[in-house]
Amino acid sequence: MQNNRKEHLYKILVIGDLGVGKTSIIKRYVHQTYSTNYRATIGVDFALKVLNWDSETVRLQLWDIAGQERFGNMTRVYYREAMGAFIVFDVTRPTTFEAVSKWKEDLDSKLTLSNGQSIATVLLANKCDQKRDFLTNNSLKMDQYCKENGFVGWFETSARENININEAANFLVKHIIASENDILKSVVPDTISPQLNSDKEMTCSYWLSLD
Amino acid sequence: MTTKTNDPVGEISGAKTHDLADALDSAECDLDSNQDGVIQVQNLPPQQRAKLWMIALNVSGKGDSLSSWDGALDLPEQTLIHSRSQQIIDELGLPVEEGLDLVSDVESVITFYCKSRNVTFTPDLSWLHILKPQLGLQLSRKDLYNCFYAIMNKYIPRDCVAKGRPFHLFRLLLQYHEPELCSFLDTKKITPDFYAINWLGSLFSSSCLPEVSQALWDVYLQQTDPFLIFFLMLIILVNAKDGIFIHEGESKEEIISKLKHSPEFLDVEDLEDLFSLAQYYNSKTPLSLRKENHNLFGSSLVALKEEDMDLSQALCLPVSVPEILQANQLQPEGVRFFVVDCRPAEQYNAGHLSTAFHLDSDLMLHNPSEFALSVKSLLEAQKQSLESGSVASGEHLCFMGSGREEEDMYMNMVLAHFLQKNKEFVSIAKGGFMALQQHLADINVEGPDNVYVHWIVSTSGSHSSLSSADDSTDGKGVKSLVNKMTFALKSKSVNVKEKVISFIENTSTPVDRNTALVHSIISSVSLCFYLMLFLFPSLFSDEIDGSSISDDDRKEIVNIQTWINKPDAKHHIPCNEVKETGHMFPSHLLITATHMYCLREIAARKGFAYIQSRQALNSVVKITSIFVLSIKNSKLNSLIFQYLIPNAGDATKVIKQQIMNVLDAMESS
Repeated sequence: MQNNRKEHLYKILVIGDLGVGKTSIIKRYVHQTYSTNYRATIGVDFALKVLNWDSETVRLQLWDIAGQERFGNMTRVYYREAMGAFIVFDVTRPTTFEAVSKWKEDLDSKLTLSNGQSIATVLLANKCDQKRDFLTNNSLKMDQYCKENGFVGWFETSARENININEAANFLVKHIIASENDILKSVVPDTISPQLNSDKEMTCSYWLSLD
Repeated sequence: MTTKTNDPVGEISGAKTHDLADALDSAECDLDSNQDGVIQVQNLPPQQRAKLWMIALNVSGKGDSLSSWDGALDLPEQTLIHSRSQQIIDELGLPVEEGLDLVSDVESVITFYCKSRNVTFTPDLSWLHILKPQLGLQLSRKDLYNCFYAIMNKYIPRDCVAKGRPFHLFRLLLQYHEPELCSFLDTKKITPDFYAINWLGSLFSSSCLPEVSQALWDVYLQQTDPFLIFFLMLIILVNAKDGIFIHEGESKEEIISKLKHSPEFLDVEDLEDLFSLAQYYNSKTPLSLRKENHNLFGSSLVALKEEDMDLSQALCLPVSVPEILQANQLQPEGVRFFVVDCRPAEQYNAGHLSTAFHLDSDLMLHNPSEFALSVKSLLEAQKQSLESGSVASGEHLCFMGSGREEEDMYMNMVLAHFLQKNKEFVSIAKGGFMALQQHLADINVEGPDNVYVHWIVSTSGSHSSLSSADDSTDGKGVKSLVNKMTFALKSKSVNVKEKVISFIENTSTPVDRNTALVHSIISSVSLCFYLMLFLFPSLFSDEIDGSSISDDDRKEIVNIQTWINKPDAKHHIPCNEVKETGHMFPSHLLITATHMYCLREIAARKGFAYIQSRQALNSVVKITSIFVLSIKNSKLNSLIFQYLIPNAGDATKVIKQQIMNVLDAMESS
């Protein structure tokens, strides 16, 4: 077939507090399914998603890291060699948002790219289909938060309603590829602002929150 | 709830109606004589109970520890101690006079304990619950203190506080036997300390009715096994499981409260089953649970070593290498391990436990479909080895990695995969293959005759197997073997394809598998009851041979109604026979004067049934119907038949009565 087709394999971490919907997001993204029957993930699980990216093949290894505190020590070994990450919180539970910076710090302290940069990380505000109280609809504030905490962007997602999951993944992959190219060129990358990527069926929450 | 007299095993026996009180009064009462698995629940008068407990706690005749104390009640928290003491006495509803003395006793005991141990009394401690069952026994202040001290020292685990080590251990035990329930509670963020802190801190006296607590302690203290409490707690949870699953949507608080209160429903009648079940689960639990955690109990100041595994972080129950090696050699029943070696193929091929199944954990990541196949063949191999009774067989899956954290990350994922699928009896080899090598070096076995020499085999290359390595070093023992092995780790003659099932050695030593029959049925118990029959195969082998043939054309086909109407059919009980696989078959039990028939309905022929089994009533060793499920725990192998019967209470009565009739007839003849 297309023998000259280039293949990329990216390891992507999905982290965040217990019960924010990490497994559901992965299931939705990889298997197009959603189950209301929630069970806490034990240890670590993973799933594979293959994307056609321009003329290339991108294989995503999505690593589902248990949010339970008990696995804290054990799961950190799985950070190794990851190229990107989703940090997920639950818009209906403020504590899970407060934990986001903790997860981000933990990630950055344990993992950097060869050029010393931290890996591309996207913040997911999950369960956006549910009524939420604490999260301000002020997306500017969220933009600010992302900037300050080193996220390349954020999305409101819903695994249940299948909102924004593909978009968020594409967005992250784009950043991973960009940072990979940057490493190749040994150029220190700038944070790429989401607006620049509005081509290619990517909808960012900036627009969605206007709905 | 059971009894049957021709009982050479000496389990729950009506024949053995020792007069316990007499036994206690006879000068040198030796409680050990009652301990061969006998569980006796009886109602004791206070004095005898006091005597029994003091002997069991080894404090009879012990001096007065309080004599050196000035009796000053002057702790900062004294008001609290006093009010709590008063409160517990009020609950007893004693006459005023008596009550006052007791309050003073209790307050003194607690105050002195705090002072002598240099600890502070806090409201969340279960101490008063520990004292409560002892208060009706008319103990002197001295004896009350000695008993309290002995219980604290022997039976209450250290670190029995929120998030304490005992609760992490209990969670692992729960996961080992009830992975689904454990996962459910984890999901709800309910850790065992939420509901069990007082169970563990007071040996259930905080939650059980007073008379139940006392009867429970009668048995408990005689068992002299501090770990037993974990198994009793486990049974309580197993029993509460269905009630929890039915109301899955309940809040965390509702579930905790439900669990907390569940021991309140225990009845004195239930205790025998509670203990039998606890012993059954105990027999199905790796000994490492105790051996690796014995420092939870006792006054030893060695306490918890730093190097001890952090149980709060454990993925599943760790099992020590020596136990893995011994278990399959020594025990035909009880815990036997099926070892799953998860190291990379080249390491496995360079040397591995001869009985270990290789599951390449890298596959999970790099070739999921092949991994799924491997898991399938693993389970198949496990099944086959159980059927053949080989030395490699075991229903307990023990995962072995290299022992190096970085390398074992994929093994942990494989393990998590099994746990996620609610696989029960899953453990991890503590320290992995490294610990195995170390252990073999430590015990330094000499000569080729030693059993351990055969433990490790290598399959890399043509003949770098350890026996040949052994030849070349002239039998210099395992140390040299281990060196060879570590060296061989570097060789790279890997043929991944040839790695699998062949390593399950079929030594064709038949092992009685009847004891394995029982575990799978537990999940489905709810409103119905199990009726279980235990039989001696040796005495009635012909009949049992006939009954154990399944799906056999030779089985006689009969018309159910005709049989029910037969004049010698005294009772007819519709039921489901439960097989070891968990399968249920709609069946009918027919009781005649001397036999019990089980007719299994033929799905394809309405109204007809196979004669599935025929048992002489006098071959029944034990029969139980209980609130969860019961088990026989004896040294002799026996056959077990299980039936699911609505309203089993009546059915059991009927069958028991008939058995008694048969036995009476035998005796009088």
